Amino acid sequence: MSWDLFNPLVSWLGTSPLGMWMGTSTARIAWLFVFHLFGLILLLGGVVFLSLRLMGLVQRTTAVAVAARPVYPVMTIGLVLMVVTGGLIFAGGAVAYFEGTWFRLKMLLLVAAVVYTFTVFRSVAFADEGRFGQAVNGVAGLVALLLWFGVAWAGRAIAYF
Amino acid sequence: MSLMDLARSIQDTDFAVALASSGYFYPVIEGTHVLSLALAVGTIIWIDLRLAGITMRGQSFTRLYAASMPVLLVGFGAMFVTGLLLFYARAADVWGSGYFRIKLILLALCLINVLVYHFIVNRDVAKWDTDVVPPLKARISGLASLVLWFSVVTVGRLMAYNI
Repeated sequence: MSWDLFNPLVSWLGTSPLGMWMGTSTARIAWLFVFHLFGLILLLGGVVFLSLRLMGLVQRTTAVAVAARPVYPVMTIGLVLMVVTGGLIFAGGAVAYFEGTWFRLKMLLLVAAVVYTFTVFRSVAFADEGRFGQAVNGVAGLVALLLWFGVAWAGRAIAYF
Repeated sequence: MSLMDLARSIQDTDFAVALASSGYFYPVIEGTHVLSLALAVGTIIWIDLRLAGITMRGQSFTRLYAASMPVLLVGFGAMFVTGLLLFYARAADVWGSGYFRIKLILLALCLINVLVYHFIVNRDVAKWDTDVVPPLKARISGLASLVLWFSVVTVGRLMAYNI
């Protein structure tokens, strides 16, 4: 995959009025990070809760699909909040962010995590009770945890390395 | 000796200096502190939302509570330990921050809310365990917890720009 394909888009965003405006205030970025974290709480909290349920570690007496129904919309709200705030933060330093190895790793993991969460993970979570064995459920949960915490750790690493 | 002097003497210890200047351990401790939010606050919001009658309505509250508790304790345990280490590494800087003091007050309010929950709200839980909308005291307790924890996260994140 050639990252260079995105270069025109990244430099356009970085030099756009929005990008310039985002880059002018630390306080604005700080507040965006606050809401980025709120999104993390909603999204990763739901992922943790559902994954542990699929792995058979919590709420064994509640059917997985029953546990999943209220959680998915909240996870989706969290994801939207993270993407919007993350996009604005990115706009404030687009070219510099885009060059970073951890940023690129985060984006790859993010795409994988989003696709997985709304295809495989969703199918397993909402399947009729007993359709998949405990082994399939457990692996589905573990993969979700690894992908999303991978995204989160790569995100932390952007700030440091 | 003032508290600031105490904080300064903590920050000057060899351990604190080593911690603060470690290019590897400090980010890992801070990252663990931030990401434990998923386990701690990410779990408590489900208890709060159920208490407030907003979601998971009609599901057994005590069952949800029992299932969430181990995850929640691991999350808050990790936050507390890593938080102490982060404080230790930069005690004087942190103590000098207004955000940190607000955070301490908010955490104290969280603790009071937990105590009120345990000694007053939770006492007759058997009566409303599967109610679609729990009694007023439970709804207030859940909403208070939501507001308080999101406030703690807010000042905690803003603090990072302030020290």
